[in-house]
Amino acid sequence: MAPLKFEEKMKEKLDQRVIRPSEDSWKRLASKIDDTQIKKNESKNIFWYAIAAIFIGALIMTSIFKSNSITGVDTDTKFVNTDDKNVQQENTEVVQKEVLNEEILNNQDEVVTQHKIDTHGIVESTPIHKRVVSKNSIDHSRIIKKEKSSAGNKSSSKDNDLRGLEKNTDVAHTQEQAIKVSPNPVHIIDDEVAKVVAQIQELQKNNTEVTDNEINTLLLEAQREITAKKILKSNTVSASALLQDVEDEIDETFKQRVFEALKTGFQKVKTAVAEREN
Amino acid sequence: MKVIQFYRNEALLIKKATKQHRDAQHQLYEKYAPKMLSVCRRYISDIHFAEEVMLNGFLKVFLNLKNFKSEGSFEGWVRKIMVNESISFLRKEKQILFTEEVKSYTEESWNNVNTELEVEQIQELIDSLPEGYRMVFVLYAVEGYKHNEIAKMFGISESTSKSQLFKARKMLQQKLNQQNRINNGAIEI
Repeated sequence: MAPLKFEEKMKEKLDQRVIRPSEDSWKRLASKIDDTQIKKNESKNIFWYAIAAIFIGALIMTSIFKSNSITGVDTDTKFVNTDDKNVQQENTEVVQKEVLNEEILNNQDEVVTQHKIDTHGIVESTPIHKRVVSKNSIDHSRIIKKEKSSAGNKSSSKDNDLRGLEKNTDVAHTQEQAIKVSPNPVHIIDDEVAKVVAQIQELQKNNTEVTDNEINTLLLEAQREITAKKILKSNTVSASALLQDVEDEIDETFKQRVFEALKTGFQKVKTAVAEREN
Repeated sequence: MKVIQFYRNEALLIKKATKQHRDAQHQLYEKYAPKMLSVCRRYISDIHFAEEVMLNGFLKVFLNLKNFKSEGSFEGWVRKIMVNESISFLRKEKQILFTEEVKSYTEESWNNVNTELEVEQIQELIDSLPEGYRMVFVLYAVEGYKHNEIAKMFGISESTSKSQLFKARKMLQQKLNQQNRINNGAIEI
């Protein structure tokens, strides 16, 4: 018998054979299917969670970058973006400074007037001017001390001191006049602030939003107007102008010196020629 | 009419099982599990392991049911999965040894061999073969695989597959002759 025939018969019999699996085999298979499906779903969920996390991370990063750029702009605009409170604070500070200056000047005036009284014979030092910081006040105090020490014995020195006092009083009077002539800068600032606030309110009424740039431009205009008014209405000269004047004076003296040198040289030559001819 | 209805039913079951309908899966399992356990049992001598392998095979069947093309038979597709699962199990559990090539093939006489064996006896004979012989013999003689396919499956040469088959046949012949002698002797006694 050939092996193929034997194998064919073997195959037939094996193909016909069936083996019944155990009773709980289906339950085991069902539980395996459930487990794998749960794992599949979990892996799918993890995949989607990962994608969502990446997306959220990207969003956060972009928002952070954007916010950084916006804060960069804010840092620039913080200088200009002033609320009403800040403006009020600044105004109060300016007003306080101005009030202090006025007090100092008033004290100076008082000192000057007291010295004026002293010049007519009564010499009494007052402790009021000790708080004054200006040069004039220091000079006055020195003068008063000198007056105390020499108490009517040395008339010549007294006369000199009186002259100096008179000069100082003149200076004080000129300053007083200047202060009287110059308008109160607090009022100017208040007016300008009021103007700016009114303009912003108008803009708010007209437009839904008032941008920082608009507020900045209004504030800049107000500042310009304030400075212009100050310059126009005050008799004070700016430091740069003073320096320019001094430089001009120096230049003039130099020119005069050169001219004088040339003049003297020409005269010498002229005299020398005249003497030789004689 | 009944055949057509059966195929329609099977197609419907497969469709439902693809959508993870548990009843349809159960019906398909009930239908093919006994045959497939028999297939796994040819390769794996332990019935419990064979059943476990069959269950893993069915799991793969139900998970990859969408990949089944209705061109071929469903049974053939499932059987292929079972064979591959059995081979991979044996590869994992035991190292399959394939002996060296045998160049001279000498045919022995099968005339005295009693082929009228019960299925259980046949299975016992197959189980008595070494792993390598048994695998190649079952794949070639029972499943109908060719030597080049078997060689590809195990990563061996075709001649090795042929030599394994030859040795398996020789061993089976010897065992059958021995059995016959015992049976004859028993009869003679």
